[in-house]
Amino acid sequence: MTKTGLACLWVSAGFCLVQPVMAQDNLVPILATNGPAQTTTVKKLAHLSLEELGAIQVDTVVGASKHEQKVTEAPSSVTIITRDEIQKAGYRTLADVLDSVPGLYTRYDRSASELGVRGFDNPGDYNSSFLLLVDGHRMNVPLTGNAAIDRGLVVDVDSVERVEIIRGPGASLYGDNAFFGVINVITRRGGDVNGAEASASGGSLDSYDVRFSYGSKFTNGLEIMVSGSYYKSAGYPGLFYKEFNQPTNNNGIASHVDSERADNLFSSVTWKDFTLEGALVGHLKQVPTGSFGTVFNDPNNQLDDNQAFMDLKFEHQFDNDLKLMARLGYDYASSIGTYAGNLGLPSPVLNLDNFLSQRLTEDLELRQTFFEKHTVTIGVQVVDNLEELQRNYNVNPPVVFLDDRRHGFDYAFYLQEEYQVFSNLIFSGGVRYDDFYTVGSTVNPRLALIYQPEKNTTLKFIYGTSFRAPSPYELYYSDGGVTQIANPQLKPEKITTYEIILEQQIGAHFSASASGYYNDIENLIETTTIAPGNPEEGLIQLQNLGSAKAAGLELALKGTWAGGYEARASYSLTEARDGMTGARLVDSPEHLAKLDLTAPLYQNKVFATLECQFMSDRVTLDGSENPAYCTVNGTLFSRNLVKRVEVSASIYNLFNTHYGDPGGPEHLQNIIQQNGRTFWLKLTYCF
Amino acid sequence: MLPLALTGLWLAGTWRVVAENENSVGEYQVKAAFLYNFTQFTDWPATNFSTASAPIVIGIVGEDPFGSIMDDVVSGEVVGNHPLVIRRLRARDNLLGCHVLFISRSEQAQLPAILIQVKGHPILTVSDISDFAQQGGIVGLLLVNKKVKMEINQAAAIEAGLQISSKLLRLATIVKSRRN
Repeated sequence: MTKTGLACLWVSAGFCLVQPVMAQDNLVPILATNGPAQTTTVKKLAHLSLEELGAIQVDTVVGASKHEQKVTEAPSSVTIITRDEIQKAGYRTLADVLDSVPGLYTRYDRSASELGVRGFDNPGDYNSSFLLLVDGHRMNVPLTGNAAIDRGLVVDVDSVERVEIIRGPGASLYGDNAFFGVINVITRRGGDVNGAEASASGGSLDSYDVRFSYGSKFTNGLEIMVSGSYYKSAGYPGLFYKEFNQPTNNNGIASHVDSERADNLFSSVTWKDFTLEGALVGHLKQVPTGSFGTVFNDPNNQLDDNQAFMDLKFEHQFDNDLKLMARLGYDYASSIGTYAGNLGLPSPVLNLDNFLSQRLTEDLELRQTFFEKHTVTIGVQVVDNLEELQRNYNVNPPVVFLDDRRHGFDYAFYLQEEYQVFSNLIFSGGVRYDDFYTVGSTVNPRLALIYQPEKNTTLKFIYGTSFRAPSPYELYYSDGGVTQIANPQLKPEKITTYEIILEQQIGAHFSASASGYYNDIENLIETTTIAPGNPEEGLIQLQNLGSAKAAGLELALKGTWAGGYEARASYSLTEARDGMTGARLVDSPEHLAKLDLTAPLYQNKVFATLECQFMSDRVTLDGSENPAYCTVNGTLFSRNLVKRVEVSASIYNLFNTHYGDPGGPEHLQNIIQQNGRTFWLKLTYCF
Repeated sequence: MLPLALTGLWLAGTWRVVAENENSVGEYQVKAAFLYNFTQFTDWPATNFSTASAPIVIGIVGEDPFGSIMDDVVSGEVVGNHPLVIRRLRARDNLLGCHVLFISRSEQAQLPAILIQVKGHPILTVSDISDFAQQGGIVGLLLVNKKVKMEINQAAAIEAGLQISSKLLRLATIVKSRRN
């Protein structure tokens, strides 16, 4: 009985941050501008229809204005995945999107998807060591720090315009405790949807999904978007786990206990300088793995997560190069985990985790540019953690093991500076002070130099620190010593990062990047089982288990050609080791290789995308090997073949590769088997 | 292995296209193609041409972001008997001899003055300065998700005495002038 899916992790619930403004401004990719124009190409373009012209994705973008050109370069390694790429590759969740990003990988334990970044994914850390933003609004749950990247995300992937992945410590630049990076999900605006869309899809595992979206930009400037979706999946009718292969456990077969359901509603309204967003999501997943010592194959084992937010933003650009941003946000999250326990009674006893949190966040940010060379940003943030409630109890007979209620204020101040030393050299520096009601204060700096020796070459040198304060869940959760005990002595995790990035435009078709980094992590919080000989022997506890070091190299290449051919390829090498023992970290693949190829099959209307993802072997929690694997996905996507209709057909794990991901400490399974070949068909009609 | 075979096929396909098009699709290549298209979907008053075969003049004000692209696009093109010519201008030049006027981002500060100068004349103003059409220009070109989209201020077109084809209007977002 124990903790829940949401259950998880760290990262301070109340911090935050964000600066979406900066994030967005900085993240426009600047690539080289027009190469030698060849008459034939431009002549061909000129004779395309306006519809065709409007559908062409330009692969070179010129910095908007002199001023914008200076700030375009983000002092980070950045990847952007666009809606077009999402559609063509048939991604269904944010986890699918992230799996295609250099250096990132996900792990699915049939409860939730977890993200690993640059060789780090603590099993038991449910997505709390990166910051997830939706349009700049922090989505990590206040109480636990958990960020849903699966169907629990507040917005359907089909309503996403693009996803920005900013690697490296974001503590000062993005103003939060983004430990390994920041992921900003930008949603479609009313003008992007421009009408109504109805979508229905279905596929393997008795799954279906329906979505309806409406968006419009009116002539008076008012922009409205609303989108809702409903997803349901029966999951595998039977899953075999050899660890449970006893007659009392249905011979290891989890039968019809893999179902999933999600519904969400997302809306945004923009008018003049104001943007109001609101969203809510409900996500229910049955847990078939018998985790936390629950009764195997009991249909009651499940996670029921709900999340909602409202965000009102005011942004105004004054004439004198001054920009003001003010934001008021409200967050609500609840998570109920149900665990069937065998107490020797005639029927299993249900144990419930009930987490509830509410948070108010106020941001004020001023950004001033002096003489076009020097930009200073100052910001202040106040977070009112209205309510942080953690309960754990048995239903019948009723026993309460934990009832922990807290509230408190967190504060932060930050200062950013960007200075153009020479026309091809930018210095970017920042520092942020954070104070938490739970664990006190911390200061984190970040320095970056961005050097452009020539038009097509950019070099970035980055140093920064970041931290992750333990969340109230990590600090205070226990189930009364049944499986887990609290550790209020936890300290924040700390990371120091050094990184060099080279971005190179190669000819007219390719852009490449290479990044070398070194991460030094201290006070890493890990789930551990208390060793024999202690009074709490065998129980799970979170501890600052020491240190870890990781060095790595990421290479990425992107190519685009006229006619719709596109290629993305990446390779990453990571050496992540325990700082004390030198042992490889759990769930840390040394090699990741990814390839996405898109080819137009018919005009600009039908596209085929082939995706290969390779992950080398990983160490599991018991020290054994989780074998390497390679999966291949294929998607056919068509738009306007029949007017106003989009069709997409995908096969995931085309070759039915047999592979698994490491289990967490709550699992008896050392390796959890992943999905075999599955199909998905989607039809969308645009009104 | 099938993935390798598929990759090979893909490469072969790519190679074919590369051989055909040595250039990637740049932002201003697409914008140039849009500009060319505008000449086909706009009706100027007949009195605006000195003769039936007088050229349609496309003016580019300010720093030319197209390089030689516009010249390549229009070379040899004739739209309804009118050849196309490119003229590069400064904001303080007389702009009234143009049929299409592309205002470069470099002229952002001069924009109100330029729009006042051409006001009431049958000149199709086009720019990628942000909110161009809302500021009283006729066609704004913007990049949305790396694609070029149009915003058209229909009232400004009518005021200029231009008829814009419904085909163009249908593909654009129609906007109004912002009053401030």
